[in-house]
Amino acid sequence: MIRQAIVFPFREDLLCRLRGLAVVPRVQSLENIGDVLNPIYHAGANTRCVLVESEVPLTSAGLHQGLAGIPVALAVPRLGPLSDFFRLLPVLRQLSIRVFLPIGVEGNLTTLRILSSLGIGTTIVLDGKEPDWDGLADLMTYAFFGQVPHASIDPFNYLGDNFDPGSRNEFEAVYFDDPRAYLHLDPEGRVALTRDALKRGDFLAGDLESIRNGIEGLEAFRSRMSAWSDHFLALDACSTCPGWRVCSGRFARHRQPDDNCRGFCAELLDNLEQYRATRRQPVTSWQP
Amino acid sequence: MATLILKATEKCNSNCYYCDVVRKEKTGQSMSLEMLERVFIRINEFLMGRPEENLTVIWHGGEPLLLGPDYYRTAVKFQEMHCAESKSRIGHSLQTNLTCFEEEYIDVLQALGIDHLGTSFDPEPHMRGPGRPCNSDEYNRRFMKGLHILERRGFPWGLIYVVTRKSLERPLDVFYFLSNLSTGKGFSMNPVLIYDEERKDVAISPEEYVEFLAAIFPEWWEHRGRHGAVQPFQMLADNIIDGKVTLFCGDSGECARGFINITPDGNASQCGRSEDWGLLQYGNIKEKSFEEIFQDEQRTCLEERTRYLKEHDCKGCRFWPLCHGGCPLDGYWNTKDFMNKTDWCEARRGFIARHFEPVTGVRFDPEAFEKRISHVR
Repeated sequence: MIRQAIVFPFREDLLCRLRGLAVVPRVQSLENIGDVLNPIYHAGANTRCVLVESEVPLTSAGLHQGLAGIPVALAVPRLGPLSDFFRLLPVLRQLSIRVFLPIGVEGNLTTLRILSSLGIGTTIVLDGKEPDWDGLADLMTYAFFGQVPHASIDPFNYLGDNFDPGSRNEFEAVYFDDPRAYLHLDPEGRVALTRDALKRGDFLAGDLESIRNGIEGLEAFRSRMSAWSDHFLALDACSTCPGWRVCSGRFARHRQPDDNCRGFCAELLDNLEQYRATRRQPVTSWQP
Repeated sequence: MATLILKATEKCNSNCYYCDVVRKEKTGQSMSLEMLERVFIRINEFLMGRPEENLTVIWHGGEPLLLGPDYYRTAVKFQEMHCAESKSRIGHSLQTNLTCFEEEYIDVLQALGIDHLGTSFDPEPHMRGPGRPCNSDEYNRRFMKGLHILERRGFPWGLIYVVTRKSLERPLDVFYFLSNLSTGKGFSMNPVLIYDEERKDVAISPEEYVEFLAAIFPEWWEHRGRHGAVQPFQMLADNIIDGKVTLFCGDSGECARGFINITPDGNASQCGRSEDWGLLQYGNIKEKSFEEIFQDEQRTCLEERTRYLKEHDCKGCRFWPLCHGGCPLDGYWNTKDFMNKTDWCEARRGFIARHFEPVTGVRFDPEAFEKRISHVR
């Protein structure tokens, strides 16, 4: 049984293979979203969310009230003009949307904070460019300890909600990139474990049918799940990083690990422990 | 609680730089099934004669998993066959390098009652592994493969790290490496024990061991919840701060009557090192019961030692209750006389006085600790 949600480039000819599965259709724009969701519904699949990988700014992404109730993960390169954004804000606030922004683009750390403070969930995208580590640390502190009500900033808040001090903590799921939660299809329906594997053309199976009994017993899956130990075999800087258990090498994936990312991850771990220790527990009111 | 160190094999698939087992002339022996059956018969005989006693079997080597899973299936059968009434008082643990660990071991080890594996690792190249220089790449790959099986199956494990001269270059990196690898499960950092000239290049002095621990201790203390039970820190915190009594064999002053080491051919001795050095040999289990072995007259010298040191070398030492003069074998090495305290005495005292107490702000109270020991005993 396949327990993962299937991330796939939306094509109607793939739908017949997705019956009974949770799916995440990948599209380039929000136009004609009904033409995506209706066929999925009629094919008997269950849409977890729509992943929109847009090349235009948020303000030009075609957001409209008709998207209300549809979970959307919207990846955009930047915000766009602030004046346009504030005109769009009343619509945006009615949507079930999470905005993904690359942190290598100037101004995006500020944008992430603005969106969060306005109640819009965000996710930072590690795009391989050297981040502004101080700015990123400020954003992290805001995500955990900002006193003003604000929406989550992932992966920080995801880690905050799921942090296990006695384990390695991974947050790839926020990028649809954890094979325990997501699998990826190419346009021909071949299955890859991760987004990187999809890009490389490294496929786990020729189609979903051949993994219908699940992937947990497959060597490729096990190998992916144990890939963390490569850092220890290589004796690289991640293996001795004070913040290893909240990163597992993720922040260093597109760069050489150095004192910048080590310092950041150590602070992330400190903040997580503090956040978990001080987080307000839900209060149950007395009732007669 | 009695402890049986069972060296069921002296074969090893590794040639770790600091290990003495591989240097012994008699390496390569494994315990026959006939002798293994005798061990369980002796265990039962001992426990039936002492209805209040428990016994822990530590499977040691060599590399005990070289014996193969069928060997352990036979051990389960012997335990069922010969220890039907006493098996609830038998515990097992196993120390392995994990490099030949396979999935099929899990069920049989659990059937034997092993619910935790002890292992060891060294990030420093060429310290562990087959061949000379040690092929640590191959060793480490196989170790990780074993570790992944344990993790996947949720089987608990613990880690020992041997502190050598190479460790001294970057103590905190070593510490983070081990903490990251074990992710809060804790580990032990034991000093390397070198008794020959050939390998002096990795030996460390007690003072160097203190400095190694001192570089790490403030980080552990501040984040001890994160790093888990790291030894020797946790043991000191338990004893000095948390009102517990946790003493290892060499520190308890009570090893005299509690331990038996058994070699593949059934010879009994005090412990692994006493066997290596030809000391405190108690005969063969083919002829002697465990009770006879535990009552061996030679053991009285260890009891005498504790009494003697308290009145002489260690008189007035406020850390006596934590140490009791340390391991008798350590004390024996330089003078060939058991009536000496361990060479590592200054390391223990120095670390507690100069680092543990100032960092934690807690001073060891020997009288209160003595009372707790009396209560426990």
